[in-house]
Amino acid sequence: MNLLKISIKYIQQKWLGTSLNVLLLGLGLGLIVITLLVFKQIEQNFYRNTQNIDMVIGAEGSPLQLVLSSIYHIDVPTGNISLSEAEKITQNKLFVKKAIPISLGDNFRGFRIVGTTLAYPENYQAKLQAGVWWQKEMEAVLGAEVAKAENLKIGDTFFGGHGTQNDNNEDLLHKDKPYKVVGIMQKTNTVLDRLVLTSLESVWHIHEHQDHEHHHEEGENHDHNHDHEEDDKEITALLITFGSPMAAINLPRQVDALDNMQSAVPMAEVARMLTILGIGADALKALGYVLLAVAMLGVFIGIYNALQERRYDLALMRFLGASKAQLFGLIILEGFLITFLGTAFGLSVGHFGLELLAQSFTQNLYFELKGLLWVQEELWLIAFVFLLSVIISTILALQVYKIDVIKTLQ
Amino acid sequence: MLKIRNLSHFYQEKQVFSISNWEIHKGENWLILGKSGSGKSTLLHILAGLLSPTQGQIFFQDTEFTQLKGEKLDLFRAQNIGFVFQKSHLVQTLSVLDNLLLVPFLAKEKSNKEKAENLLSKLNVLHKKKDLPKNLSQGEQQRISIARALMLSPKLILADEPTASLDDENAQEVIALFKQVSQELNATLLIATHDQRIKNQFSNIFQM
Repeated sequence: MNLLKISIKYIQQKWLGTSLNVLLLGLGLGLIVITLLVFKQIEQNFYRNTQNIDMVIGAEGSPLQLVLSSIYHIDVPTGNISLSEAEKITQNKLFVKKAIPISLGDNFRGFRIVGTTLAYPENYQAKLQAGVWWQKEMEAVLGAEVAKAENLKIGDTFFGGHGTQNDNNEDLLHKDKPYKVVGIMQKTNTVLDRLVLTSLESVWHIHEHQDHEHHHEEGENHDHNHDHEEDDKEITALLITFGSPMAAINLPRQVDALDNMQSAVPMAEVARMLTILGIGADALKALGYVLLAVAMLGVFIGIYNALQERRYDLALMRFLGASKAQLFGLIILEGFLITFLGTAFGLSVGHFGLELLAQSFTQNLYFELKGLLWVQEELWLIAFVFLLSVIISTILALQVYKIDVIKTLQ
Repeated sequence: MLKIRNLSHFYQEKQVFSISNWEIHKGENWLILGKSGSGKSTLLHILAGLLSPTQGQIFFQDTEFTQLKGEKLDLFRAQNIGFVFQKSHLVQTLSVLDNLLLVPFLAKEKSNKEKAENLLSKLNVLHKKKDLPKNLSQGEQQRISIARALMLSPKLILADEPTASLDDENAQEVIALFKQVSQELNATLLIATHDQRIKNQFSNIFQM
């Protein structure tokens, strides 16, 4: 016989009331955990994808759109810029440590095809799980999720579709220019997993041809040879890693002086966007805390009611010689057991619930959402809930001392 | 072993009872007879330390019982007095055996499962040891309360109307049991009752 046994027997016998309390506490907790996990991961993903990229140079337009399109591959690109013009800026090796060109325009079943240099995957420490990196035109390396989703292997070929979004239009496929899969990357947990990488030349090659067609259709008289000149090669954006802190001040000024070009700082844009989203996150978190407060109130009422019902048992135990410490311990223990069950239930609901949700719509997200992930804030949350439980139990335990044994037993 | 001196109790400024001098010796069996409202239950509660008297002293062997308070009093009662209520007050969420084992645990004594089973066996309810109290008949519940009162081999056994809700046969049997176990323990037995059926079984009668 011990206090734990008495408590457990009590909870077992009164399982219906106990489970309602556990349910109430668990749901409130679960909702908070989901909110925490989702926003933590959105934040992490946005920052992980900006690694080493201090600035983006691209065509004029919204700077947020430029960052979203060239780093996260979410929005449509702002347009193209001249490679030779952009390189004039990046020639200053004191300011520019790395400049990675990317050229967008096509997709493969919704996955964007990115014309770039090997410096791009290198920036994300991407490694190959099969094959080799591209060497010639029309050779492609697939992100891990692309290969898995489309079930492609080394040596397979596919057609790119025009545009950065998949619109399922057969006419927009570049059927005369198939890509050949030469490599598949390992999972990086970055945006790379959902991209098809190829050389800049491949993208240029396809679109030169496309330009010809368009011009013919439009019946315009155009100097075709001009397109093939190296000087006029176009890219969508240039991803810059600064060589010195001074670059943060000097480069944007230089870029803005040029026609049709702008610079955007990813960290600043992401921070701006998260601030906007943050309002939503805070509101959701607040809702979670309100739910938790309701849940704790439920637990309070639950324990309080149980105690009213237990006045008799507690009086009986005092009659049998129980010390105040024993009675106090018993109430604290019962509150603790309910809180423990509620917390375990809530964490399971939060983590497994999010994992299930994430699995059911991972295809529609621009990054992978995980449920089975631990964030530090949860520790604070759990500590908070247990503290609350001890406080509630203490308030109730103090009432036990006022019980009149004889009156309660008669 | 039990000395009562000038004991009186008031409830809402009305005297419930007054006893000037009463001495009870070790091993004696007493019946406290009185009508409802005569204060016999109140006396029993005071003797058990469940209620403080308005005036007077009670000596339990060498201890001035009326001086004890709070936890000390609760523990003293648990270790020295076995009390049986008219209703069987049992913890409903614990099995019969656990209800008995609760007694040494709360009184900070060693757990003694063997003794609990012996008592249940003596009272013919051993086969019910795993049952919850709500599944027992009233007579069986009464036996469990008696067994519980005897768990720590008390020197004084107090019983408040133990036969009130029992039929004739069970009433005689329960009284016989009380006398038997108190004799075995060499304990003092005090039964408060208005039940005339059991009057003949006691030579010491205290009329209130």
